[in-house]
Amino acid sequence: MNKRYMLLAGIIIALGVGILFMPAKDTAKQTQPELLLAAIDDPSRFLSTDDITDRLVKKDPALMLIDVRYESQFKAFSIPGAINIPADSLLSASAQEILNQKEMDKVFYSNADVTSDQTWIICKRMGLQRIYVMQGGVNKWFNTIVKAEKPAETAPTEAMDLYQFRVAACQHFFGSPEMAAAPKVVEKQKVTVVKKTSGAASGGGC
Amino acid sequence: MDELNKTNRLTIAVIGIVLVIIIGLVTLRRPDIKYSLTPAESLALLNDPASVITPVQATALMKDSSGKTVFIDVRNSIAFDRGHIKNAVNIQVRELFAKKSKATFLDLEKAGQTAVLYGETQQQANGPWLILRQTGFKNVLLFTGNYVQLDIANSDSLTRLLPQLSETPLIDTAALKAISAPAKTGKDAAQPVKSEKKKVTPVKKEASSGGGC
Repeated sequence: MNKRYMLLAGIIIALGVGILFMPAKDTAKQTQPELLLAAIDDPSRFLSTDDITDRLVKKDPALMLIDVRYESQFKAFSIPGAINIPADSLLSASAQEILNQKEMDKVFYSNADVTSDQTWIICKRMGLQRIYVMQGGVNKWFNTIVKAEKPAETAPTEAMDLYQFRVAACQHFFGSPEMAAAPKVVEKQKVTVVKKTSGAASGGGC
Repeated sequence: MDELNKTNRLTIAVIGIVLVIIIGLVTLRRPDIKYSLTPAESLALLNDPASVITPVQATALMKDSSGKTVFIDVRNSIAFDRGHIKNAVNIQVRELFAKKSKATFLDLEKAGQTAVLYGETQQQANGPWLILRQTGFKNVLLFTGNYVQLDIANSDSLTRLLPQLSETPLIDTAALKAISAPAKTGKDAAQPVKSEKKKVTPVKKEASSGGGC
């Protein structure tokens, strides 16, 4: 009988030792390849430049715009409010700390949407949540927002509204040349307070 | 009697535990597809010029008939049927891990051939390429252009559509300066007037002036 007890104990101890020497698994958080492929096939990660602009203008506190281009390109031009995490330093501790903020919508952008999409795939594999890609990148953003093209006279109202939104957004970020001529217009609106004449004042009453 | 029962239970327990372990080991299956690159290695891959095929290289490869390179079309079957590169194989993005597709890639690997992935845009072939490389297929290259550029019938195809969709920065900072530079002076000039406008001079009502009820 004792032998059986020892056999049982032996099996359990052997299992315990086995678990002790198992390789450390840090892959538990990772997205499995099959699921990653499904995520890649799903276009819902793409956000349009107009949506992002709208959220920037409204100062959405949950929006975190991340520029994954090189630092030199970021310094030359970047979307107002964006932070710079070059794709090379994506795995650095400081970058990971930023990316792991669960309550933020992290939106990647690069010049087009190739580098940003690659960055997204690697982040998705590492199991990060709430990550997106700005479709078209900063090239599209610049060419639609800063250099917005006026639609034709015959264009539908929606196109006209969109154009006006883009122009207003651009003015919001960078100001506009028309404002140089503004003072004259503003002066016209100056309100002059006219004192009530005493004659009119005396005639008060119900 | 008591002693006998105890022994029996113990025997059953031993057999039970051994059975559970054996069943566990037998049914334990490692996942079919595993990552063979760490995130850091895949990140390094993005800047590796040997892993990509530029449009110029691709046109040369298409003329090459040695059969060392096989083009893989990751667009949907409708687009593929409408037109594709000669001898290209159609593997849609979501069918990348299907048995048939895996067999195709393994065959290519065995034959020492290189697979070049292309899509409607580079972005479309990007994901499949990265995921194949990460799961251990080393012979997969990415075409860094759009499908339109591979259309040899069009002599101008190499330069077509390229700037809009590639990672070349297209920002014309002169246009931005034109907007923002005068704006700053404009703001400064506008400021005093603005503040003047806001100034409110309250007019005290004279107590004597107003009658009342």
